[in-house]
Amino acid sequence: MDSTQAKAILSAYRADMPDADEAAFAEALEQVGHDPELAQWFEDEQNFDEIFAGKLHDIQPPADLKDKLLALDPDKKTIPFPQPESDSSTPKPQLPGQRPWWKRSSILSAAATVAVLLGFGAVLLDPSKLEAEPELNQFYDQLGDNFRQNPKLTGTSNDLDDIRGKLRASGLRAPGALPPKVDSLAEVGFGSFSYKGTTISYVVESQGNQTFCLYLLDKSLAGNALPQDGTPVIFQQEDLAMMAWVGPQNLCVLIVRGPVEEMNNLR
Amino acid sequence: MSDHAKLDFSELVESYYTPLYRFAYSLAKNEHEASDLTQQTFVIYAQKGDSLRDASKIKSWLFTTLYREFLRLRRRAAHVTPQENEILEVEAPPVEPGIARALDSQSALEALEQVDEAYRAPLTLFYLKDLSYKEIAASLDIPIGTVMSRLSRGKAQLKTILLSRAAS
Repeated sequence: MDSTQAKAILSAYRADMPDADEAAFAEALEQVGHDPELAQWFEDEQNFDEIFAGKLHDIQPPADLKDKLLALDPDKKTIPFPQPESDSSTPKPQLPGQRPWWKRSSILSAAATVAVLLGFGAVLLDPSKLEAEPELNQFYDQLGDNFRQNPKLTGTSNDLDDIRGKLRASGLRAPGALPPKVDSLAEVGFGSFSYKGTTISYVVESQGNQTFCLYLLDKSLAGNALPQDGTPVIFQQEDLAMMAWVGPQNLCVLIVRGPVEEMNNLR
Repeated sequence: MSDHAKLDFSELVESYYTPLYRFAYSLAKNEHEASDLTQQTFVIYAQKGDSLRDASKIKSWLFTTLYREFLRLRRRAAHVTPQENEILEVEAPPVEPGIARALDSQSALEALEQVDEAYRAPLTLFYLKDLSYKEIAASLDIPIGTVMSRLSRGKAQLKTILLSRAAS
């Protein structure tokens, strides 16, 4: 091993690595003891690494990130769904967010005056007990068809606020405050299509290998088929799992391919 | 009961959120996306962590998950360059200590950003000092020999970039 080879190997060496005794370093380290020039280079290299590492350790997380993360604890099921403004008598607990605060705070500050946060939970209904409005059922069918054909994106973005802005700028329905676990899905893009003279906008999202689509419709379509307090209803529509709820501005329908259990994690 | 079942979520957050955030920030280079990636990592842990059988691998799993989320969001494929398992000869230019000391963390990240993507993640994890070589290899899903070679090449690039910035 010549000096250049030794330097290449030692440039990856960090003495405080738990496995720094990797055999790959042994010969090069031994050579340091016999080669003063290499020893000086090695000392300089270690100094450089220490200084540069220190720069990265100056990075500090936002002060409230830890609290946001602790709120994700699956054993503390305190995550509520946002509620519409009609029920404003209940005290408003702090919403533990999965969404980053810079997105959530703006939403919450606006929603704080109109939203009341009730208890966690969704209603898992037997599809046979659903008494959806006939027209709503037609919309469910249409949404399912659209989802199966892979909704076309008119724009891509991984920022929900950005998507909101673009949808609104186009005069389309945009999602308001979302249930935290729905909010935590990763945005991919957005689009829209027309059905029965109304324009339905949607946001395509993903989690792992799954693709979700959140459709936004006129909330009057819900009629009496969905709870008006925002409680989500989960049901199976052939090969698709759907979760529908009445939000402050929109009737929201989230769809994923698979059994209803796929949706349970988002309750 | 698995080892995982004994782990406390809040302890995991306490132990790993800062290094995960630093890694995320190093990749994304903005506070918003770094926080988003860190949160998404713990969301996925909350949903899928039960499948982890070996508590000793949780740290690597968290870093792996964060890195995959980053790649997925950026729609980048993590390609492994062939014939990279050998540590090849790399001539890194010497960098005066003053050049490195004069950097602030943002400048350091900007320099890292210019390093080829394949080398950037292992180099960042190397400097963050949270993972061993084996854990870096596991987190990035590459062989340990590839980690070594990417570190060598990445550092050579980084030094060249720092010298170039200092000269300009």
